[in-house]
Amino acid sequence: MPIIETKDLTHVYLTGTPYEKKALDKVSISINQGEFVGIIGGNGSGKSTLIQHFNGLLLPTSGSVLVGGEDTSVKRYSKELWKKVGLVFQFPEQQIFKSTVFEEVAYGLKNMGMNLPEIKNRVEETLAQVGLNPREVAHLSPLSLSGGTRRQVAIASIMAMRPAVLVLDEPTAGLDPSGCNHVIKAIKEMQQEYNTTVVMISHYVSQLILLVDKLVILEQGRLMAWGNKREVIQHMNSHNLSDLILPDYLRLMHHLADYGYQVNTGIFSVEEAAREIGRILKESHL
Amino acid sequence: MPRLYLKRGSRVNEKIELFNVTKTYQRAGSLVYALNNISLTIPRGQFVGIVGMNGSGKTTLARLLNGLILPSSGEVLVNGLDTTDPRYRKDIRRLVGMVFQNPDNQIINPIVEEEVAFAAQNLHLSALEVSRRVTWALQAVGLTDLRHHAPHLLSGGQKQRLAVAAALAMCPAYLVLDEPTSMLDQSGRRELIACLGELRRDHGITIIMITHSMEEVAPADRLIVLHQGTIHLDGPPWEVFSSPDFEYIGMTPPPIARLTNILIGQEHKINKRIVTFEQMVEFLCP
Repeated sequence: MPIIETKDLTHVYLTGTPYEKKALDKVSISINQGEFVGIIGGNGSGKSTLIQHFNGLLLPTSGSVLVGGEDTSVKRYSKELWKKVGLVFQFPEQQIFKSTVFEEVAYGLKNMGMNLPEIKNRVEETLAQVGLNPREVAHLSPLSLSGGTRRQVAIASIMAMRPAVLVLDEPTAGLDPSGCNHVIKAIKEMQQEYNTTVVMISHYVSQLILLVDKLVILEQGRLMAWGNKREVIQHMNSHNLSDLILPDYLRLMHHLADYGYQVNTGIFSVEEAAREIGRILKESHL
Repeated sequence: MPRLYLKRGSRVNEKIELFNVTKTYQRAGSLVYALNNISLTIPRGQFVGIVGMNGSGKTTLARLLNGLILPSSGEVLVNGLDTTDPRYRKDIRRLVGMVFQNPDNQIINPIVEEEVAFAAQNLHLSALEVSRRVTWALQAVGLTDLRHHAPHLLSGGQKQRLAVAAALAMCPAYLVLDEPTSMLDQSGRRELIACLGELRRDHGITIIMITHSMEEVAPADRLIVLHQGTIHLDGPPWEVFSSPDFEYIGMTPPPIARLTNILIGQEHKINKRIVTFEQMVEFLCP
C-alpha cells in the first residue's frame, strides 16, 4: 500500500472570484514508504500547493489524498496527520520562536507527550544528525546563529519527531555549498536509517536528481511527468518548457541530440556528460 | 544622470575603489573580521560576480559599496566620493543601487509603476522627469505591460525585475545585487540574468552580483571569490573555475566549466575558456 496517494487531486484557490486560480489539475501520483521523491516545476506550477495536501494543511477541491490509506479530509484522521507527515516550509528558520535551540527542537516532542529524558536524548541525537554539536549549540539563542545553522535547527525540529514522511519545500535555498551539503546529508541519512519517505521540492535540479528515486514534474498545475527519474529525464525533450528547469549539462545533452549527435540523454552527472562529449570529440575530430 | 563630484584627479573618476578596507563586528564579546584589509577597483561598466561561502564577507562587501555600512578602517570611494563623508551620502546612494534577496521585503507600493516611481519622487524631480524614468526603467526590465498591475500578483522573477526597475529609476551607475535569484526558479533566474546583461550592454550600468550559483556568474567579465574576509581569487570566470584554489575552499565550478575541465584533463582539444551553455553549444554545434 502506498504511503501517499493522490487521486485526481484538484485544488482551486479563491473559487468564484475574479482571481480564481486552478493551482492543481487532476494530479494522480502514489508514493511508497521509503522512497525519495523530487518535485520540480517553475514558480506557480503548484509544487507548494501539492505538498500542503500531504499533511492536510490544504484539502482537495475535488479528488482525494490518502496518507497511509486514510483520507485526509476525514477529520478523525487529519488530527493525527502532523505526527505522521513532517512539513518543512520554505525558509523554516523564519518560524523559529523558542528562545534556545534545545526548546525549539523539543517543542514538537513535548506536544507528542514524550517525557523529559526521552526528549533530551532525542534532541541531542537529532542535532548531531543535522551536523550540529548538541553541546555547543543546544543552549544558544537561535538568533545568534548564522542563517545556515538556523536552517539546520529548523529542520532538526521536524526530524526529531521522526515522521514517516518528511516533506521539504526548498530546504537548501539560500544556503552556501557547505550548508547545503549538511542539510542534504541529514535528509538522506534519515531516509536510509528510518526508511523515511522523503518528498522534496528544489530548484537545484542537478543536485536533486542525484538524490531521488522518483521525479514529479509539474507545470501550471498539471502533472507533466511522473515516475522513475531515469525515464522521466530521458523523455523530456528540449522543445518542451521543461527544458528551462534542466541543469545546463542536461540541456546540453538534449541540444546535442537535437543537433544530430548520437548521445544518451538519460544521464545524471557532469562526469557522464563528459564521457558522452569526449566520445563525440573523438568521433568527429573536432 | 546624477551630478558627479570630483575628488582625485581632474576628470570624473568612474569606478568604485576600496583601499585597505577592514570591517569588524563584535560577536559574543570578541572581535570578528568580516572583511580583512581588502583593496579592489571596479571600473564602470563591468559585470562582476562575487561568490564565497556564507560568512566569507560577501554581504558586508555589498553594503560597503553604497555606504549602507561604513568601513572600520580603510576607504571606500565611489567615483572618488568617500562613503564616510556625510555630504556625499545622498549622491552615493543615487550612484549605487541595491537589490536584495527577497523582493517582497523591498516592495512597498500597491501598483507596479508607483513602486518604480517612489524612489525617484524622493529625489524632488519634476513629475515629467519621474514619469520618463519610470517608463524607461520598466522598459529596461521588460515590465511595461504590467505597469498597472499589483506587485503581489507578479511571479517571483517579475517581482525581482520590479525591484531592479525601482533601483534603475534612480539612474544608478552601479547596481549591486545581493543574492537576487535565491527565491527564483530556473526560468526566473535566466530571465533576470538576461535582463542584467542587457542593462550593462545597452545602458553601460555596472553589475555587481553576489550569488551562490556559479551558472549565473559564468558569463561575468570578472569573478571575485571571497574567503574568510579576504579576496581569495579575482579574475575572469574561466580562470577562477579552473584554479585548484577554487575547489580547495569547497566551491564547485558550474556544470559546463566542470565539463571543460574534465575534457581538458583527458587531453581533448577544447577551448579552456568555455564556461557557459551558449559557448559550449557554439563549440560543439558550429
